[in-house]
Amino acid sequence: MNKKDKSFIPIEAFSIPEDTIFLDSESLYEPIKLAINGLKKTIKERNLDWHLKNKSEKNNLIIINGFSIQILFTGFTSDEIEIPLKYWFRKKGNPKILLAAKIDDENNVVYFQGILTAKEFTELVKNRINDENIINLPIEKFKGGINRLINFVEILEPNAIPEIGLIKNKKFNFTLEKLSNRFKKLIPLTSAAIVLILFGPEILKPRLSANIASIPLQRIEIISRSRGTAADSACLISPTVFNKEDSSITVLLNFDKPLIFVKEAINEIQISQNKKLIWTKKALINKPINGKIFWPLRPIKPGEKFILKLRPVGTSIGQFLEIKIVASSKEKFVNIDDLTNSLGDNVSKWTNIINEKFNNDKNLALRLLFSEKSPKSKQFNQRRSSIIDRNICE
Amino acid sequence: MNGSYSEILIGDNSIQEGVKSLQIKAAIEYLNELDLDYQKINKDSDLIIFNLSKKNTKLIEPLICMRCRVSFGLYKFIVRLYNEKKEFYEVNLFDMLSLILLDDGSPSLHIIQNDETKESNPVNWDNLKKVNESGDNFNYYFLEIIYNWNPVLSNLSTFINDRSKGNEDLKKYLKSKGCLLIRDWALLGDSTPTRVRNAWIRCGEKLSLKYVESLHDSYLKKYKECRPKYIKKFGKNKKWEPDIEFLVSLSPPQENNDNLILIAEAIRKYLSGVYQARDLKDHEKNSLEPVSENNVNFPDEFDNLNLILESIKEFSLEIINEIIGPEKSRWAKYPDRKKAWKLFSMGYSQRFIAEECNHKQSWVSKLIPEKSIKAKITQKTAKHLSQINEFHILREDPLVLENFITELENFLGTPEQEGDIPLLRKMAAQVIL
Repeated sequence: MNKKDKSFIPIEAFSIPEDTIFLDSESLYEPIKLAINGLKKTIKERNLDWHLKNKSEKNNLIIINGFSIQILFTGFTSDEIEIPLKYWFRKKGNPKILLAAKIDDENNVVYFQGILTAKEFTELVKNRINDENIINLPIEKFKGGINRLINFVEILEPNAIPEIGLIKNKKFNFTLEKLSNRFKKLIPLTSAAIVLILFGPEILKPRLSANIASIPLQRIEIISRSRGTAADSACLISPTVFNKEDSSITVLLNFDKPLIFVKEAINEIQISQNKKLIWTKKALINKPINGKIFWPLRPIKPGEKFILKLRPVGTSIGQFLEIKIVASSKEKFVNIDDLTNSLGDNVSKWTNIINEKFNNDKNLALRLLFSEKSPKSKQFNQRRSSIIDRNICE
Repeated sequence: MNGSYSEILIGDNSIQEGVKSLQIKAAIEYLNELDLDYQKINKDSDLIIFNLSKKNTKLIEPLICMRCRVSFGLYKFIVRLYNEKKEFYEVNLFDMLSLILLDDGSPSLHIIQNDETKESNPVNWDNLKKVNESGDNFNYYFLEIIYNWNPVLSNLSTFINDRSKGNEDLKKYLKSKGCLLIRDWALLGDSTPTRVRNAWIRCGEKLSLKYVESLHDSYLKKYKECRPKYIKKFGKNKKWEPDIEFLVSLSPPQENNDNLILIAEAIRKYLSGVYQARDLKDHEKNSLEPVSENNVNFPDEFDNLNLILESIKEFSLEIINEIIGPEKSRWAKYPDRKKAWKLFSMGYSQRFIAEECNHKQSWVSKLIPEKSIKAKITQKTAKHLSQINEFHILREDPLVLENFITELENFLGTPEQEGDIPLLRKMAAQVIL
């Protein structure tokens, strides 16, 4: 990352996402008016029977069909949004929904990035509130575009989304647990039973992203040292996402117990540190090493380096593919046992964390997906199979 | 295309290159009289000719030389923009050039916008000054660029690029094609310190990271103060740009726009990676062949599955009819539109449809906004079902509602079996027939 990348050409014009609203380009709008007018235009275009009432002088708190909605805005190309907390410390009348608009007041365009419910918002910021009047959140925390707002306002009853306030000094004015209990009381047991009958328990659970199966499998070639011998290779499932520089392959890990998983059968594995061989395993005659190998040594510490050597079946003795494993020195170096213990056998928790890690730490996502402690789940098995069964190895 | 101070570039749809060049005799003679040999454009020459224009306020010739120079800058900007967008968007180089390259080199022009007298005036500095002082708008964009250029703040090429991003006609054109021009000042104002830091580490040059962070931080504060004041004072939100007072108030104080432009350029380079990746994702998402895995989780054993299926089919037909209905009347004139819908209904990817119809993917995604269609159908279906007692939980639990809608979307967009055609496309096929 320290090298300046000169291959990038500056982007002059930005893509306009689907569902962007265009207002009369000649008029002058205050940012909040631009967002409100964008919303009004959507209501009109979609023939929604919505009645919009202003509840604040600055027009940023509105009520639509019984839902109090705080409207937020930021620049069209911005990566963050500012949330005034003025309405969040009241005993009653706090917003139920936050609606994030990306606007460009030179072009008069509005794009609704999505919404957060009060519950989602307070959970995101609960440990960050001290004396702030304003808090910033990454714009991508707001999900679903304008359609999520339309779905909620059109279909949900207003009390389906509870009001939740904040109090300063990191406390809520009432606990989420109490609220959750109150909320549960709103749903008669019979309804819960029907939904379970209708859709089965799966509908209440988050789904494991299908994109997991798209994690690229990587083929590593062994450069043959003996003349006349063809180069061999192996298809590595985990660890993945390595840096290849010259012939050296490096994996940067943010957790302490990596998973070693090669698609082909292996004849020999070696792990060394500081040029010393510290662990080795050889295949027995006619019984090669197959499948997952959980880290066979003590947990790796931040900053440590290891060399992992693998000799696939069919290669000569001494022909290894070599991977450098470098543990990051991050403060938040993950202890796999602590993490998996905290997840227990709750499929939703596992699903959420694997989905989250898929976006920012594919190695950890894979480690969790193939964890020996992962809960029994048909969907997990499907995802694991779709990775293992992939034919393409790049 | 080489630029010079005596050759003007004029947008012209009727010729193959989209632009014709015209040698301006008055400019050649003026440069000869001054014994100046300005064959090639450079910063020093820009400044000398600009100063000659301002000094000889009655002369049209130095301004004609400037007009030639500006036409070349505009041409370069448009070509760059076109090359950036041509792969995915239905942009036309000739159309873009003809929006911007309007100067034919005439010594007299209707300088004032909306001037009812329609009088032509000699294009000299005195007349430009009069327009500016009277509060009227310039009728021609290139004259506004020349008059407003402040060589202390930025070089002419940079200024032309910046002002072109604010050109209303070009902005309108690009908006209609799905692109938004954002000027550097708004981009800097929209960017968080984290983005600037990442952009600088990856793409920045010349300045230290610490310097950049401090400068951008002070820019953000001042920008938030100054822009609302500007809007209040002038009654418009367009065309704000830093003046010298703004620049010296920054930390560290700036003598010109150069460093801010360097930061904006690093952000643009950085975002070209991020945005283009995001772009591709959107396009790829739309253009993906239907995934083979069936994600639909409506259990077979429940009686109400039929009700869900019937509802989703009914609303699919209704929504697709709403979209295709008005569209059909155009099919005789534009057969490629019909072909695109037909290929869509047969299960082909956006990329394939674009290739077959000789268009860009952005044309297909605009014609067939699959994501919006699915959203409308699922919304109507869920709303309809929520009114039925058995489904009342949909009205009461946001989580159940969201999961239900996701399942409906999967059901619409995912084939039941590998190689099959998704329901949405099957429904489209029924409507097309």
